[in-house]
Amino acid sequence: MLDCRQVLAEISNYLDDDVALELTHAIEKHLARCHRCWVVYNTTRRTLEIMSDCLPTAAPIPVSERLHARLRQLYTAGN
Amino acid sequence: MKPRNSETSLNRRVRAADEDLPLVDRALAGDTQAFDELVHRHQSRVYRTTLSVTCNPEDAEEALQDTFLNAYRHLREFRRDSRFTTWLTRIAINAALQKLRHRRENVSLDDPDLPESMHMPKHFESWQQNPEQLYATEELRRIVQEAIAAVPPAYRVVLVLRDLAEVDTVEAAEVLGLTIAAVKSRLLRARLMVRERLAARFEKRPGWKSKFVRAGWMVRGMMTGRLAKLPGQKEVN
Repeated sequence: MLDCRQVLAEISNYLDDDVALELTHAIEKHLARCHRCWVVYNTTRRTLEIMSDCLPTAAPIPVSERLHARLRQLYTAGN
Repeated sequence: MKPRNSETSLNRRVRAADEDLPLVDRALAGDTQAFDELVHRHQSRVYRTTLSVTCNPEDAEEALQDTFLNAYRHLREFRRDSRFTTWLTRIAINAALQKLRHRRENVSLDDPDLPESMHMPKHFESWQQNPEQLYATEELRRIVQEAIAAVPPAYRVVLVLRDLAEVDTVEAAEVLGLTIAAVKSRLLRARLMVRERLAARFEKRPGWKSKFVRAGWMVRGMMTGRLAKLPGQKEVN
């Protein structure tokens, strides 16, 4: 039987699906009966989603244009 | 450090799967369009990486430029024992850390060995249904960036690589020169630190409705206790 501390230590690996099957079952059993650990698990999962969703997925166009301008200078200097 | 025993098979697999290598070869032969294509493929991921490490748009842009300018200048030094993206990410992380060092001193990747209290959860309330909808997009972005910025750089770079640049654990260990166990341990702490910051904003607070419901349960408990004592009253469950 896992205690809260042991579950917390594996929360990140569990989210990454990077724990052995037996440990996965033990974690799930604990999460089903421990509300606090379930909240930590669920809100950590939401943290990753929110982090990923709200940061820019593309470099802004002016940033990209200035990068290409710098590269063109470098290409010309190299030739 | 990368485990030596799996290096050969891993690298063989990596080489076979690395779709950037034909472009690298053409760029090395002097084809600047091929290098432009590499930039096109990777600039967004690199920008996301430099922005998340530096937490500053100007520094992120300079680090983005430094990354590709250095990659172009040193392309011959790319030894194909890792994927091109791993090599590029290593340059991007170094460029971003360089910007941080210009602003602050002592940006070390050594484990700061912080006390457990720094990452142990303190908020245990559930979050609101759709916390993203509580804030405008720009405000939410600022909140998340502040939460990431509050994580010490030695942990933040791991978080950025794994959760924002989508680099796997083995590659992250390779980029940072850490063991896989150290990457996992730092990632756990970084994720919990960001969660803690967001929890302070997103968790449900007991509003009037839940207070009313809680008060109702208390009154019900008191009443049922009294009613149960009245003569001739059936026991209330």
